[in-house]
Amino acid sequence: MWAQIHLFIFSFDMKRFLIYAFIIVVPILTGIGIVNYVVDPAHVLNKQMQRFIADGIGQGYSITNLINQDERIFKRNVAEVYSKDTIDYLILGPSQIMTITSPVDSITVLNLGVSACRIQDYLAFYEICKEYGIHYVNVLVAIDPSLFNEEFVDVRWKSNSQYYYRFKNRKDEIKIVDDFEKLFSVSYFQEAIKSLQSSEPQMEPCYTKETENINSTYDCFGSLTYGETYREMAQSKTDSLASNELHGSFANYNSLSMSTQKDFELLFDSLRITGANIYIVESPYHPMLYDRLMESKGFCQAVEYIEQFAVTNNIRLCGTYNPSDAGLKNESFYDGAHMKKEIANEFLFRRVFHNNQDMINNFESALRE
Amino acid sequence: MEKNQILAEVQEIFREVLDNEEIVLANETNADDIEEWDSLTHIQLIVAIEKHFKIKFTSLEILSWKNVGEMIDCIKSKI
Amino acid sequence: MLFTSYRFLLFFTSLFVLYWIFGRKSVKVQNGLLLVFSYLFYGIAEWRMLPLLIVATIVFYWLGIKIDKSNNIHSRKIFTHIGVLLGIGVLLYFKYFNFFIESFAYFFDTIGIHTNIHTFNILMPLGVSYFTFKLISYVLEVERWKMEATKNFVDFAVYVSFFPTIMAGPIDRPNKFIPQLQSPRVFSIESGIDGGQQIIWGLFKKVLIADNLSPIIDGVWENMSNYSGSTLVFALFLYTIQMYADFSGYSDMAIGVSKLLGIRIAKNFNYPFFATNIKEFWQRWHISLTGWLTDYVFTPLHIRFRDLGNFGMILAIIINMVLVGMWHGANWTYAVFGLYQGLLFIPIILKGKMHKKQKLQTTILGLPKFVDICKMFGVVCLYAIGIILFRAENLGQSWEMIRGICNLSIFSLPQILTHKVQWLLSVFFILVITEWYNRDREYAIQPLSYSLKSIIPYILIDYILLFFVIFKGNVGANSFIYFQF
Repeated sequence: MWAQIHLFIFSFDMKRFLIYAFIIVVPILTGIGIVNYVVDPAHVLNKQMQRFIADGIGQGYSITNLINQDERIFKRNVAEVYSKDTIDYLILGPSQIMTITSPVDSITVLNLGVSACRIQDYLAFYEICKEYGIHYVNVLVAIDPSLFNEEFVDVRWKSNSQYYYRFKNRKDEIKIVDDFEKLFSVSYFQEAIKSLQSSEPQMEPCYTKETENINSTYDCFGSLTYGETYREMAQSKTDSLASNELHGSFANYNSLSMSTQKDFELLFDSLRITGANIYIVESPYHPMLYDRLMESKGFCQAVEYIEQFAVTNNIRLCGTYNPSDAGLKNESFYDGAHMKKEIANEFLFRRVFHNNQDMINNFESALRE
Repeated sequence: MEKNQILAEVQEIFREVLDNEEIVLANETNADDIEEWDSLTHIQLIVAIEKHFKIKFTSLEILSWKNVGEMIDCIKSKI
Repeated sequence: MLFTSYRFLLFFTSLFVLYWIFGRKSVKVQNGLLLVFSYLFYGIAEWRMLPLLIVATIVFYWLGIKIDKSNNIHSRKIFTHIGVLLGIGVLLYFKYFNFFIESFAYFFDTIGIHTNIHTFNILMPLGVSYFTFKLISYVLEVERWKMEATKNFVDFAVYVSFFPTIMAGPIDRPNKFIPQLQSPRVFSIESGIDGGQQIIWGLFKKVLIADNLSPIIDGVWENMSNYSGSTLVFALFLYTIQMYADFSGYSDMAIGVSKLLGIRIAKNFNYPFFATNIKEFWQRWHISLTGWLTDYVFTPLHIRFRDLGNFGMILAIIINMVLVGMWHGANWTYAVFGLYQGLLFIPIILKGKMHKKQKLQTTILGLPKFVDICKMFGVVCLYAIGIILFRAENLGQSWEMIRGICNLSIFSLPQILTHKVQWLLSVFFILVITEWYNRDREYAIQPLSYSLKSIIPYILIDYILLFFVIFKGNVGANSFIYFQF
């Protein structure tokens, strides 16, 4: 065999070709890799920033200026702080529920929501909680109907890919390919260049005791409070965003992905085993966006599937995608999909506590404060 | 009719339809050898040949010729 | 697996190493590796449809042999018909079944009859439009005595499933492809560098130009009412550029990858923007598809209609172009697009210019004459108008776009003329000029000689192109147009 390799490499033509290929590919890949590693705008390759954030959370601080951070890694760091703890409510799902926070002091709510939460993210966070020994009494699983849209590809879940692969019993070696892709990622390279070119001073994440800051802020349980721009957005801007967005996540949505449905079932099978009370949460859309979503075949199919799934599996369903059913108007939203923080929290916990008068009383007195 | 005679007459038809007096046909000639001869002019040539010899080809025959020689054989079998 | 991903780089590098180390002088090893890696490639993309691909391959392999062994024309015809009908049947079922159901339901609805027809959840196999065409052309070529049926199953299976072309073409002809598998491929520096250059060129076109234009154009189409007529028209031209860059770029990568394996596959684009009439355009755009339909639809029809003169040709062209349109998808927009393109042929047919070959004269600077440039632009305009149908989700959206264009707002500057669009257009302009001066080459940056001295400038060009790609390319975009077919 060595003779064959010898023949291969030293055949004159192949030798010249390999030189040609090397001269082109290697310097460019190396350049990308070096820039990505050194600049590391989202601090994914270099772990110092992650430690700093985790320490802050462990001390009970909120973190703000997380502009370039990888959300998935951040939420993983948050979860790690609560290793071996018992949490009252675990929250999983997309950005619509990222603002959910504990309604009263006596209740702990761990918010592991991430933007554009894909099925791999749900499973990864399930696995993360399992690995860190986090025990949760209740789990609120918020689902966006775009979850089942195969045409919508978002690879951010790969930041926690090793947990997803562990759930699926696949080898951890696949993580090596993912890491390679991140180190040599061209889009990450472009972010790195952009951050180098930007004349503004780099905003580094910092600790704070304030909930409301210029930029988005996460408290020590992972709950998000939007930055100034969003909090103070004019209603006209909100409405125009809502009427213009036909979320890329709903593009070409004509059928439900079967592989996602399978993973979806696996998720709930696993959650059931933990013994936690499970809720499926539907977060309402801005009325103008909702009207357009109702025309999407995939959206309607997905809603039907989710609600049928809850009924068949005896899972409490709380909330609705329809804003008028929830009594919400244009003014209740920041944009097409996200309710204002106070409204989102009231919306959710009223429905979760509806059986528990004590909780509702506590909740209402907390709201009044 | 002899094959040579058929070849000569076909050559004349080619020259007229393709508008090129310098075309010379041999048995091995095919579309790659003559610039003006492509799938479109092929049909025009067929129509002219059918009219001239008063014969009719089947689609399969037309599509299966590989060169002029095979075309001539086919013509001969029909006259 | 997209060609523009690191996964594919890993996949292909492993194949390349195994193929040329263990495959030297061994046809069995080379073809075996191609088959394994092709099925792996398809399986990763869509493992549920792999059985269909394999079964179809077995069936058609058997049909080919049956046709060859037949003693008489009659049974040859029968086996061929079975093959053609099966191929078309598979295509019709997976691609068009729901379309037929919906159209029937719609039709009945409009005449007042309410139907309760539901469409089925049919999963469309990736590459079905491509491999069914390969299978059909195989039985037809065997029937027409253009080639012998392949006795070697592996060879045939490689032809059907060849991974560079399984997802998005080019559609190869069996008589050009299969013979290449019958002797061992020898690595040559020429095809190696040639392949590499073509891959880089394709990558540049796709990732820098097409993928950057894509979100801009999507934005206009999704919110038509927010844009002026001039913007809508501008978006039509941009989409034409996007389609060309996207698809010819992907084809270049497929061809380049094949060259690295020592295999020559069909050409798919021949500088379509240099066509001076619509007939030439279709001989330069998506050549493997239009060539296939020309040979298997247009020519037989034309033969059948040959005694009807010009009318016969017009009828054959219209049917052919409607099929070209409908091949792209199960939507009335594609059918009307095809009809529109077919009608554009009528003036050419009536003037007797169908078979005229283009002979362009150049001016002192080597550029085409002004008249010819106008003709080229005219052809692009005609095609861009067709985009109103081609890109629309339904005829209603086409109509909405027409209404949006045909009003006074057409007399204004396009709203999407951002800084980004401006430099993209500049890059495209340079690309067109380069392609013009190098139009006798297979692709614009094909080297003329492979000696050490001659290659250096090409490597520098590669660096420039790749710098553009990594600094400005849009790597997030996943919407490759021709994958859905």
